[in-house]
Amino acid sequence: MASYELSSTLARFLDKHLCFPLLEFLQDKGVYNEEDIMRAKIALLQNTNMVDFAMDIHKELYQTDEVPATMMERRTEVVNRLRSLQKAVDPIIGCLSNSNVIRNFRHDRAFNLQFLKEEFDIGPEQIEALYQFAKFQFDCGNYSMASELLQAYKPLCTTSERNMSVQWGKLAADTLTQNYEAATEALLRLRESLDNQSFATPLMQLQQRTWLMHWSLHVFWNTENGKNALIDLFLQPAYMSAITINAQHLLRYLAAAVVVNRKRRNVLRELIKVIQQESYEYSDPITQFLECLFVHYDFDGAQQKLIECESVIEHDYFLTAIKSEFLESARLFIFETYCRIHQCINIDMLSERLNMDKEAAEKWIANLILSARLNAKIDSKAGTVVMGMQSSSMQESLAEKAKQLSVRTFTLANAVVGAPATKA
Amino acid sequence: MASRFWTAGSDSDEEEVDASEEENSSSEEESSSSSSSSSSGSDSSSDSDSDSDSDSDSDSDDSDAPKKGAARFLAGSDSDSDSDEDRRVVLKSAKDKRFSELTDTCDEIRNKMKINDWSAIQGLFDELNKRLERARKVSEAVGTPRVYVRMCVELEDFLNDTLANKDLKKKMSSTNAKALNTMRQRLKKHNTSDEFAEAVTKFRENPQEDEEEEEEEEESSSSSSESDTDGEREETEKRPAGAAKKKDKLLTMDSAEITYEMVAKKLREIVTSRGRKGTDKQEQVEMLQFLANVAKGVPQKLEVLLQLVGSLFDLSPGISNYMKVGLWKRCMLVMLEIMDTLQANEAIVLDDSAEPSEERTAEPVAGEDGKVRVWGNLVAFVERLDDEMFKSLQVIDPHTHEYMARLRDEPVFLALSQKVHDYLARIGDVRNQPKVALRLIEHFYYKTDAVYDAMRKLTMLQQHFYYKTDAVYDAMRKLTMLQQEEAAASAAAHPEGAVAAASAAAETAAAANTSNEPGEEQTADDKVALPVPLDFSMDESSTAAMKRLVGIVFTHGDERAKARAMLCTIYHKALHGDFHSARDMLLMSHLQDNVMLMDISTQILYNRSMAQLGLAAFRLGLISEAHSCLQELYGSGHIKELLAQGMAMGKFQDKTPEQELLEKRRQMPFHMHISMELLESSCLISAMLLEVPAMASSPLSVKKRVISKSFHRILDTYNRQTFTGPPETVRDHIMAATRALMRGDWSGAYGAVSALTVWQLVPQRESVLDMLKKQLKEEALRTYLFSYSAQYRSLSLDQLCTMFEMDEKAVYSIVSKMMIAEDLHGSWDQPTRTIVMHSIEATKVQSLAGQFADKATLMVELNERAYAFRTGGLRDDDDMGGGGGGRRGGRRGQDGQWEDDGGHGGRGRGRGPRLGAARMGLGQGGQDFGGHRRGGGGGGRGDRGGFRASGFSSNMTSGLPDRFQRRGPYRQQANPNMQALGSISRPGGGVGGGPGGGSYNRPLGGDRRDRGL
Repeated sequence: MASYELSSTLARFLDKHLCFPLLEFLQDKGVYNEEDIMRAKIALLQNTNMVDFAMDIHKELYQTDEVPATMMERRTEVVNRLRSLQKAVDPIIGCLSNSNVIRNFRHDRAFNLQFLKEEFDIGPEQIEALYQFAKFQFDCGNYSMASELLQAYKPLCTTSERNMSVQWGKLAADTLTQNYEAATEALLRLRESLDNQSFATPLMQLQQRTWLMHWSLHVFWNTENGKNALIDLFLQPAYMSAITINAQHLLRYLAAAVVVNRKRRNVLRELIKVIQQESYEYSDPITQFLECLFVHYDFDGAQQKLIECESVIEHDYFLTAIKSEFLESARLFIFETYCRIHQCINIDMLSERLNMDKEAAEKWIANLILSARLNAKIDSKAGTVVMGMQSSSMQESLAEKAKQLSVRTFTLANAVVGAPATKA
Repeated sequence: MASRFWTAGSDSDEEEVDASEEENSSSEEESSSSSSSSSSGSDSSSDSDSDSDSDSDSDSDDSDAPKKGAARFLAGSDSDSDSDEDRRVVLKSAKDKRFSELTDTCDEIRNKMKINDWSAIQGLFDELNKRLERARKVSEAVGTPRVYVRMCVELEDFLNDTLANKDLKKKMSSTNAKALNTMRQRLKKHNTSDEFAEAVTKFRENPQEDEEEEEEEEESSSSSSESDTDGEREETEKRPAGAAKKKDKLLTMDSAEITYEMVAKKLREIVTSRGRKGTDKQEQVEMLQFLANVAKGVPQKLEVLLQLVGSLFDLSPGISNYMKVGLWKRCMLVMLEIMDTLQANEAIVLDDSAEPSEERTAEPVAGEDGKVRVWGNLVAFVERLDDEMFKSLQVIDPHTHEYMARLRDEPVFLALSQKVHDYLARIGDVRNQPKVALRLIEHFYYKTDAVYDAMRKLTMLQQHFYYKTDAVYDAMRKLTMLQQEEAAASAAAHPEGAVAAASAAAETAAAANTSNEPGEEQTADDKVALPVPLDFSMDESSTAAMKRLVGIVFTHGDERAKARAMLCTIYHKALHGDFHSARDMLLMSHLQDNVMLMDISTQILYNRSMAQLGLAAFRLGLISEAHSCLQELYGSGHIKELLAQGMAMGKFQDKTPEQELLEKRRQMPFHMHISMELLESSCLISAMLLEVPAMASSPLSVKKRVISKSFHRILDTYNRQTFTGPPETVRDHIMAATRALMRGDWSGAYGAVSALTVWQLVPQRESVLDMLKKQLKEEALRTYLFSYSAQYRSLSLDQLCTMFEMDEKAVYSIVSKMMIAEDLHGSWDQPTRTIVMHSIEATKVQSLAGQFADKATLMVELNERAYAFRTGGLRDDDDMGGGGGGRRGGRRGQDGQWEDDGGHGGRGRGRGPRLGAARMGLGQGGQDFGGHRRGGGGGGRGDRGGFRASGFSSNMTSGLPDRFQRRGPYRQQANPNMQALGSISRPGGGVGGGPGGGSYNRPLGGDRRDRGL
């Protein structure tokens, strides 16, 4: 199963801190050797400021109370830096915590700076320190604090590059504090600035779009309307091309979102096209499932893939929550497509296809018929489902066309004959 | 001989066999190692030089000199060489007489040439020929006297000059001009005739032989290299010796006396006289060669050598002709020597921005960074050499040994470029490095693996052969056998590389053979041996080489270089079957958007890449991709020109001679060609696979989408044939396959397609044929279902499986796909495993009525659009057209405007398809209604109608304010709609509807035509 495990691929596009939940999840699932994961965690933490945490893991991993000297050194280093930063940042925090000051801020950043300078004697160094401090706090795992600090810093930052990093930081911090509402907002704003930034090279834009999509996974799969937003975002041409160029594995999430989201059937065609186009680059059971079902009409294959999907989804940090939903929708997909091209189906066969026992399948179908989502009848004696036919005769369609023509011609004639007279 | 000497001097002495050469080389080493002019070193080097110069004389004097090596071969061409004299002593006096006659006539001709008197020349030329005949009778020689050949060449040159000089031509009297033309024709015939062609070319390559005779030097030499050639020339040849004598001043000096200053002065003299009228280029080259040997210090030597390369280039006759192979090789040798010198002396930097050497009188001292700067531009030389090689390959007949021999020079060139490239990398010249890298890429990109390997082995073989490392030789011999087989196999497998591979094989064979008789290789190779430097080795695989070089171009190159490198990579990837990444590269680089803005040769490269991409897609079974890649190339009808693989035999367009010349200059050498036949087959088969089911699906439909126009055209002609013979050409085969496929007979189709001989050129023949078989089965199934499903009430899955020999799953999948797309009106009955048809197949009347309704809709739409344009605002239309139809029309109208707006800038890119659709609709109209009764003619009229339609809508876009003219047709068009409605709404009146429409349509078409004119 590890072959379809995407964590390592995803990690390349994620922030260190955003990788952490993934590792935790993997540890729970026990896909990989636990020690390996612990080591990975330490490696991950090495460059952050969460030294204590790293130490804990180290102890657990090697079953000792000894901690390597490098870690201790790092710890003192971190603490020192914390102190110095704290000192540098104190005045500005004090001043910004005063709500009167904030109220005096305007949209004009230069004005804000001027204002601070005049009123409180806070210069660029302090403001820079504020940013550094926020970054430091973030590295320490103190995400909510970081988020607040960044919020405070935002009206003061002047360069657009810095502005971008602030937005990225905000998104990460909000995501990690599981404040998804704020994160969604941050995401939206970030996306806007990404699309609007004109200074970046196309390559950089591509890179950043890819990052954004990866980071957004955390947000989208955890919010109510996230799947919709995910589909919207991923199907944007710019982002779609980023997927096809840079991160084909994201198709899995897009596919899952589309399958689960019944209202978005309309994008299915587009999705299938992309999946097919990229199948030489990336394919996993989920995309293969769609391919089987909508390209090859290979229902046995789809069935097979669905079983594989189950375990893939189970081991995917983002998708595991929607497992049953996905399976249900997928089943419906199969059934619907099946019905479209059959006029008579054996229930036994169907139950096998749907991975249900016969009773349940019959009930399920009956439910579908009842809820008017299926135009069919069950022939219980023969054990078959007979589809109702909806055929329109040629005559009807011709009449329809003619009617339409007459209306259009009439209006046109009216316009041509009537209009010049009135106009002239 | 001189060149032989050079290489010996430039390489390490381990390889030396000849004792005297060893001596030379060691002295070279000395002089180069001690750049601060060690007198003894330079002394010995100049000594050895004068040795080589004196070779010629000593041999010419000494008629008993033993003949060996090249001499034997040259005896044939130089009839009366001294060495032959002793045999024909009796005839001597008569012979002399004849020759003096010949010479006299020649002198006379020269005189006439000076006054430009062509009629006199013509007469004299006749006389000359007569005399030649007589001289021949006397001398019994096989060859042609050199005086005569020389005359021919001079005449030809003069003729060309005169022809080029337009003013002169105008001034000529009519008789003179006539004579000129006659001379031109005769000389052309004469000089290219078998008898003289060889002699003439030989003379052109080595004209200096005559000049060297003048250098009289007393020193005799001990060395006996293959310099006999110089000895064999006419004693009777008289040349004004004055010029030669003058330059000899330096030559006769003792080399020890020659100072830096003298050399510098002479060099400067040569540089300033270069390119002036009346400068003897040949003489300059000679002088420079001499100077190179007496130069003091390495930097000066480099200067001289660089100048020498330039002068050698001057010898070649201009941009339209290619440099003679011998000359090219000499250039290569000098270049290699330069590179060796540079390699040996790291402190010297070649720089085209360094100060020219003119002001210096003493040796340049090292700058503060320990570097000595010398003016020179290696890259320009490399590029020139590459161009010349390309040009020669363009001109040489690819089916000759000459061509192969030329191809064998490629490794040396690669070695040189690689050296220059490494050198540039060493000195950190990132501006020029990509240029050389690109040249290398362009030598690699079209090579398949087999060809590349052959080339690599050839390189190794050449190295070992020329340096006579006997131990390796045996091993190589064995390898040769292997490689020959391999190359033969690859030649069969790769159409493009066949020649290269074959030549590589031939080369190794030749190398193996000639090495048995080492004396002969010189003559075989245009008297200039061109060894591949030992320190050169090609990368293991072409992919690795490409990757390395492309990286350099991408990081440092300019836009054009990047684009070319990208295209080469795409070609290379496609050639190696990596279609997807090649396609992605093409799409991501957005090359297709701006390729039209690039230079023509890049566009050709783009076309080549495109063709290769199509072939790759075809091999992988990606039919529609292959089709879209190839369609544009093939459908244009100018594929030869687009790929620069031959001139089009256009009957209709006539090109000016200049255009033709330009086009000739663009041609690809044969070994780089992409097989036309393969392209044609791939394109047509793809078209067939796409088109046949599409045609079957909608035989009568209005909105017929033509996928491949050229395919339709061919099919139409094929169908019109009264008698169809067995297939011969590619087209015949594919048309036969199409016929079969239309009936759903896949095995017949496969038989016809697989009978094509062109598959032998495809490396993965088996897999391609398998793929084709599979595709044919699928498409046959689809076609069968389209065509005959109406005849069935139900169809069993098993029966379909047996009919098409496909497995159940595949059939199921295809049929399901058709059901979903509503191509097939039926559905599966799962318990019985059958397809049950829902026969809602319309009757003929119904379908015709449907078509008519569609056409009427189209007209209404057009009218709505037109109205919208006339009233100005599209929104108005939207508001007014209350019904759903009206609104839709309005929106379409908007679309239309959108496209038209775009059309101003983007040249109707959006407009194309739209007009096409309109045209098709109307064209069909003509055929269906008008043509129903009147048989033929419908098509033609439809076409015209279509043409009108396009003119009509473009009229709208340009917004001409001519209301009257426009209102007319609108009304008329509005009418048929009514009529059509009438006929449709009347139940049972469908029969009347057809003719009614038809009868209307005809005048409409005529009407249009009138207005169109």
